[in-house]
Amino acid sequence: MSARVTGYARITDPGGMREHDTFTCAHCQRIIHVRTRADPASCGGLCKLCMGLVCPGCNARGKCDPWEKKMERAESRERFLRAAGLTE
Amino acid sequence: MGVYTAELNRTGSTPDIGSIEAPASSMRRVALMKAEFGIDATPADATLVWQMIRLSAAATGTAVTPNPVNPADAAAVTLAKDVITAGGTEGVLLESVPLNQRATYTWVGYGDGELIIPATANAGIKLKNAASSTLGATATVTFRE
Repeated sequence: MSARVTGYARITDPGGMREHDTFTCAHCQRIIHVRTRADPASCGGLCKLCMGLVCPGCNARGKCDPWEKKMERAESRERFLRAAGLTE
Repeated sequence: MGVYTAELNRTGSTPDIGSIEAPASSMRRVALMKAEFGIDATPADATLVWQMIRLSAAATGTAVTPNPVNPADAAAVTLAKDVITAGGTEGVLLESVPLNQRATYTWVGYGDGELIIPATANAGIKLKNAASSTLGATATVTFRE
C-alpha cells in the first residue's frame, strides 16, 4: 500500500505531531488515511480495471468509474450545453 | 501552469471557511495540492470537524485574491472566496477529520492524490468546520491551474 500513497496528513497538537500517509480514491477522490499496520481491507481496495486505489465505499460498489472519466463526462456535457446556448 | 495560495477565514454566518471554484469563463481544471486548517481564536478544548466538500453550485462570499507562488506567474483565474454567507450546493465529502480545537491539520496531495476540480461552471471545493458556525477558523489552500 505504501508504494501507492499520494499524500500525507499531519496533525499538530499540544501533544506533538502525527503523520499519516493518505491516498485519494481513484473513483470519488475521497481522501483515505492509511494508518500504520492497518488491515489493507479497512482502507479500501485496488480496482483491478483502472488499477487505482479506491475507498471502502467505492470498493463495495464493485464497479469501475474513474474520476477522470467522470470529469470528462461533466466537461463534455458543459461544452454541449454552452454550444446549445443553454447555460450563461 | 501556476501554483497559487490563498488564505481563507471563517467570519461569516455559516460554518464554511471558504471555497475555491472554477470560474465561469476561461475554464480550466484546478488541482488542490494542500490544505491547512486551524483555529485563530483563544485556545480551548472543543471538538471540531474539518471537512473538504465538493461543490456543484457556487458559494456566496467575499472574493479572495490568490497569490502566485512564483511572482512571474499571471493572476489566478480560479475563484477563491471566504466569509461565506451561503454555502452553495454540497456534493461528495472528500475529507472529514474530527480534532480538538488546539490542533492544526494539514493535508498534502501529490501526483494522483491531488483533488481535481473539473472545468465546469460552479464546480469547486469548500472547506468548513462542520462543528461550529461561530468560532473563528482559517484555512490556507495551495492549488495549481
